[in-house]
Amino acid sequence: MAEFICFPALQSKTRASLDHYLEDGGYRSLKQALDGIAPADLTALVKASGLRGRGGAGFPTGMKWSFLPKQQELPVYLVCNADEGEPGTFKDRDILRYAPHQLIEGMLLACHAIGARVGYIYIRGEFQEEAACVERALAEARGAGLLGKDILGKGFNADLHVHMGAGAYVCGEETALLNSLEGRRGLPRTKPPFPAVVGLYGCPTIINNVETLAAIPPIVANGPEWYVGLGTPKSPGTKLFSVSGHVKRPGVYECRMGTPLMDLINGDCGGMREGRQLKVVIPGGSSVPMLTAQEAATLSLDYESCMEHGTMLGSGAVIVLDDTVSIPHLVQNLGHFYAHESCGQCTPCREGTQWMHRILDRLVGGRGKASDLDLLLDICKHVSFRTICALGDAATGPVKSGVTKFRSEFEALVR
Amino acid sequence: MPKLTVDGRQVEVPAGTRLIEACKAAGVVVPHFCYHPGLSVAGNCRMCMVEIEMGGRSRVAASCVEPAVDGMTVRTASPEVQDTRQGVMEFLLLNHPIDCPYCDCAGECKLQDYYMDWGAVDTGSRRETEPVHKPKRQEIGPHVMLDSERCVLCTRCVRFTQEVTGTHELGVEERGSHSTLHLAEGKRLDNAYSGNVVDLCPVGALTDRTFRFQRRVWFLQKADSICPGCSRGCNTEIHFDLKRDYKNESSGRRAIRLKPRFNEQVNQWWLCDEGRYGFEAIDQGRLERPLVLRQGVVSATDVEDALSEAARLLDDMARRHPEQLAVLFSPDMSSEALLAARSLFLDQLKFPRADFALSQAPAALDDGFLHTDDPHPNRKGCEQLKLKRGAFADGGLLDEIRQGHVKGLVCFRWDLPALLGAEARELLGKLKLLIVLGTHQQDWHGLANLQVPVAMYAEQSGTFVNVQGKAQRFHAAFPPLGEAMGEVELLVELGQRMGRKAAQTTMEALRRRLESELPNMAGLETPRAPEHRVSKEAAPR
Ligand SMILES: Cc1cc2nc3c(=O)[nH]c(=O)nc-3n(C[C@H](O)[C@H](O)[C@H](O)COP(=O)(O)O)c2cc1C
Ligand code: SF4
Ligand code: SF4
Repeated sequence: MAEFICFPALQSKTRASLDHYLEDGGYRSLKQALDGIAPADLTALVKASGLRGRGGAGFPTGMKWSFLPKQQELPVYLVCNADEGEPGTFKDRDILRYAPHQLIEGMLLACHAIGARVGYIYIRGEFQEEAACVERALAEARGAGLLGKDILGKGFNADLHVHMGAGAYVCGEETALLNSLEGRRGLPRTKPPFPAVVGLYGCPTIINNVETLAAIPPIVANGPEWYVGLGTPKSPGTKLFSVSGHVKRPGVYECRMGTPLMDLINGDCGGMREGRQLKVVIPGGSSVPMLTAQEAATLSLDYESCMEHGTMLGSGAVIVLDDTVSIPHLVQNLGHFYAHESCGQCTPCREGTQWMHRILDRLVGGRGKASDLDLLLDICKHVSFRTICALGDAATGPVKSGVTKFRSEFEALVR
Repeated sequence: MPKLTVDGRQVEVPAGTRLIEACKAAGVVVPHFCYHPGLSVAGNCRMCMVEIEMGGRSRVAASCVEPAVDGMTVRTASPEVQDTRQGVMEFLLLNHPIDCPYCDCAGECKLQDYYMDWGAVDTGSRRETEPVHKPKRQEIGPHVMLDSERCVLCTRCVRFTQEVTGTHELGVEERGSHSTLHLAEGKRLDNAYSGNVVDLCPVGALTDRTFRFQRRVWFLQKADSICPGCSRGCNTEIHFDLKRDYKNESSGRRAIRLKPRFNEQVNQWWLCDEGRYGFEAIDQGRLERPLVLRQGVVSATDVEDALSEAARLLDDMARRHPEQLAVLFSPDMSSEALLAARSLFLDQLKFPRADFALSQAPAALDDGFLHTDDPHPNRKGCEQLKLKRGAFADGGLLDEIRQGHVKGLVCFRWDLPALLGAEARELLGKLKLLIVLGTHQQDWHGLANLQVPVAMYAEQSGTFVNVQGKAQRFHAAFPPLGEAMGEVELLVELGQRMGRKAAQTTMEALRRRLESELPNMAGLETPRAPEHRVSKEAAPR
């Protein structure tokens, strides 16, 4: 069952203001850190908590922070990735709306740990309301001496700024985001060098997801052992899951890592629509391989169980679909999304996503050929892991799993 | 210095070297479209993927992005790599027009070449019947034509205008498969180095408007040369054809185009448009045969007669009024020619006035990149040979003619009215003796007793000393037009007819003397003989 442990404000949905946040114990972690946790110790604390990136890749956050060059002339930047564009994902939106101060506190803690004095919050272009919530919270924090110069009178300076995206999914990819933030086209950069070494304006930069950063204040307040105890050994803590699709109560739920998927679906979400059967679950956002109902039955919500099931936890976007759904239609829909959102920079993704989209269109339109199924799988092979960023791989997730696991549905279209 | 193994060969490279360069150092050229050593790394074509094994783990990565790391084992043609390349080739060809028979790039197109090496996909059966269409035949600048449909979006041209010229005319518009190379709003590709994007373009998307449809590239012969357009002396290849005339517009033309030749210290990979498109002078408006003025009538003659006439006229004047003689050298002459001329006119004939001039035309542009403000290829050569640039060259000559001090003039290559002003035309008419040795016909030449045709740089061998003091040798691509001759040959012949010691000299003797007198002349590379040469990978592209 969902429990709002780290993100209580997401349950009430009414306690976004500074006053509420302070009443609920907000900004105490920041005070505690500025009073006596050295930056290196704060990084070690986050490492010990086992917090992993909630943006999709699940990279250990403390380890990412420790990749910053030790001797450093250039300023260090912190960037919060609030682009939230992955189909099915809408958990960061709730943090921006209902817990903006928790994000701000998390970012200030991160600034303290990594030595950043400026942080940017890159918010998805469509999130006008959410951006207004964040701007309001920033103004409140600034007014209360929690942001800007000499924060809490502790001699700590750090400021945060909001930057709006312009509507491209690929700008959620961290290096495309940096280009966009710099005012360039949102094209992913080649790596290495990684942003921790050469990032925003050529300076060392740490990019973290909204949920990752917002999880830090409770970790500091309660200690890393507490956080570890909330989850499984390999997936500590809790995670937000944005459940969409054919369940009775879609929405954002916080679950301990290791919670069985079916508990979430049948418990908080109230089960499937009346009279319908579960057909397929995409557990981590549109990019990850889909699971059949049978596979989903044994999945628990943590990194290792997802891996065992040949899929990924991703951003925690659980898309639940019932037996009314045609898998070829589903794959065609996602195929269109990725072809449309490919930045077009690298050959396999630019050409491959477009080609797959065309083939899917003709399959669904009844104009396909039997050979198209293997052609799709062959294209996936030529795209995966051969691109500049992970969008190319992402595009192959639904196609590969859909065509393999539901091949008969595709075959029926070419008979 | 990292040590690594590339296809079984050991190689050691400086730290920070890109893997693709490390492979090259090991003698393995990794196929690529977007990578270019003169530009930043884009990593977008994905053609240069190689398999890297390191610490027991193996992965496929772009060799242009990946730095060479100690202990790496690199495989550039493993089954996995071949499969990757086949995939990239198929993707690129999916929407690419297969119109090689009339694409100007055929024969020097990476897509075409790599298809033979790495394609091997039966695109016929998988290719979509209706490829994506994009705009064709766009005149994006004075020299360059764009066919967006052929563009593989490698962004080499875009990066060139960002990083080399800083002019930002080109960019990619739209996203995904709609991505299209475009001119920036309100701009045209009209910068002083625009032609380089044609060399950079790995396919036929950017073509040269001057060269389009003039020749198939495989019929071109190529000769190493040096651009005579300014004192930089950019290294070039002259591409020529002596056999075919496809079109009236190119009939009689031998030089078909110029291409830059890589030289780390001089021009790297580049060439300015002025130099690149200046080749028409090689075949147009040339002085092709000697002309002699007798009893007020200019008539053609042969070299034999012209040289005897020159010897007779010079001897006559040297005997009677040696003090009235002057010779004007040109910094467009090779060092060998300057040395031969110095021997004859200064050492042997003891001309009292022997200077070289510099063009007085509005100062050429020093663009801070390659083009210098000195329009002559060999001013440094003149200076090294201690030739004077006296007052007489800068207009003093006209005063001396007016005052009757100078009555005989030998002029190498100069357009005198352009050099000295319109007044020159009238004063030159007052001379008793005027001998011009020139490459092109000029309207004032009728005043000369003798006009002797001289070979262009593309037609003779020689050495220019560039603005950096670097001596650079060039060779004849093809024989001189008509009866023109190289200056060295002409001067030797003339000296012989005048019974002078200079007659004994040869090109080799002149070069030996230059080498012994001037340290920078020693050990010059002899350019390769003209040949049919596949240029795509010959220079680092
Ligand atoms: C195509 C693409 C889109 C992405 N979109 C987002 C996004 O909207 N939000 C996000 O936090 N991470 C997104 N990511 C992941 C980021 O690149 C990056 O891994 C993440 O922001 C790092 O933060 P974390 O370590 O806290 O997860 C995306 C990645 C790709 C390849
Ligand atoms: S994988 Fe796709 S989105 Fe990512 S850089 Fe390449 S073309 Fe752009
Ligand atoms: S026009 Fe040529 S050089 Fe420019 S991006 Fe296209 S293929 Fe590359």
